[in-house]
Amino acid sequence: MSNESEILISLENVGVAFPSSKRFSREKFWALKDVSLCIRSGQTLGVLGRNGAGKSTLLKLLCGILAPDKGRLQRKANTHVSLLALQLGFMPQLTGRENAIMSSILLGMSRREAYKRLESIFAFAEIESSMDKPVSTYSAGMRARLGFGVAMETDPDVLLVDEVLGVGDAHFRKKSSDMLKKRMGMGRSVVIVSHELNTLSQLCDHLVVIEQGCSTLEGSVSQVLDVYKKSAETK
Amino acid sequence: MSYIDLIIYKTYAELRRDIAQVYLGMLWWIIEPLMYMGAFYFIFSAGVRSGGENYASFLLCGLTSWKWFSSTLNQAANSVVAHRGLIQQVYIPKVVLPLIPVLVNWVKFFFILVLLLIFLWFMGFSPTWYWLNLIPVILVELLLVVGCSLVLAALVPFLMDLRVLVTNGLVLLMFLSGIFFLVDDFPPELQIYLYLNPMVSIIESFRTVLLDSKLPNWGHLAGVTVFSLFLIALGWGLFKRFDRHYAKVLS
Repeated sequence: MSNESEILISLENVGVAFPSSKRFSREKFWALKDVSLCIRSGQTLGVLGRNGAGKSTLLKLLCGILAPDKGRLQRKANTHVSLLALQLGFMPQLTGRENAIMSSILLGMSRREAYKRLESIFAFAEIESSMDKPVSTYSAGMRARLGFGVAMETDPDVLLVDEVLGVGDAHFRKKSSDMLKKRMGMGRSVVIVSHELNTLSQLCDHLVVIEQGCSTLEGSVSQVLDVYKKSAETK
Repeated sequence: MSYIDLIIYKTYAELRRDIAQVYLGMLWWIIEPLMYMGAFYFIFSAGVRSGGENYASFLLCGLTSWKWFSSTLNQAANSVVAHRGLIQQVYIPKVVLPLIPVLVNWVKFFFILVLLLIFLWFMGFSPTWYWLNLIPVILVELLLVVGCSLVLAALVPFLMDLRVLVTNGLVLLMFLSGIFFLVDDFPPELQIYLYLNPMVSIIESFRTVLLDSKLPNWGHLAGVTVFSLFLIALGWGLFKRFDRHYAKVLS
């Protein structure tokens, strides 16, 4: 079925180079060397790779923070791609309400839309009574819930998640994985990046393996699992 | 994303934070410039230059427009670097980042301007219709502030050394802007070079309008406008060219 669905983003032999940290050096560091993959609507794609394989760079590329230095990246027109970023742009001195609006605007809403969504954000975060208190007075848990509430209300076509499932308490983890499942149910695309095969194989329908900046495997979860396990054994 | 909304709300948020994090809140927008100007007034009026008639009004006209210019540039130069965390998490056109301190400081400037006008009235410079000529003067200074802010903010992430140059360059420029002296007191062959600094014309215009109740030198202001528009185009071009490089340089 996923073969028939529309391609939202496609990458062909894409590379991303960073300037060298050495002074006056023109040498470059290629964080991504050769990555090809495509993201279809309604798909949940897992990106598997070790630390330093280029996963985070890939996410930044997908949501437009970085541009490719080689290869081709195509994005369907008007596709809204965003990184799941909690507490984006929060200023602790400001109230929960002000921070929620700021964050919502940064995530792509207009001011008017942001005001409209406030109620449901606070209902989700379960902190209605503290809306007008400075965020610096919130507990860590309240802050996390507010951040998550804002993220819940933004509805990108492709949501990018960077190992967020590994952090936070059990309640929070459950809430976040529920949210992902809900999105998948609604036919939105999700890209999850992790170094944990188990998490990914539970949540995703497709997998891409990235090793040292190159995409080495792509396919359905079962296909990739087979090959990946075999290659791990031979190593 | 609505970038206008982003600029407006972020400006509001930064002003709100300014107020929220100090006991005296908004009062600081007035107290701080008063302290700053008071220090210069004390030194130049009572000491070095031993005053002269209306020297206080002369000095404060210059300091008001200078303070706006230099505070904005100091913050704007740092604006992209200051949001290094944010630009790793979400795509925003970096050109909006210097525009936020520009707006924040413009708002603060108006508080000080009102204070200056009241002070001048108190000193015997009654308001006249000529004061309305201050509006184009302020708009020209705004263009200059935007132009300088864009160019500096675009370059600083690549050359952090510039930050030190900006801070110290502004101190030097302050003494070359005719805040403490009349440019006319200099020999003519030197004056030409002093006028290369656009702030000289701006500060002069403030004084011509407010203290002499005359029309500003439109020719000089037109020159500053052209120069500012050139800087704005240059800054805009730099941001366009390097928009997605900043996330790499600042990672």
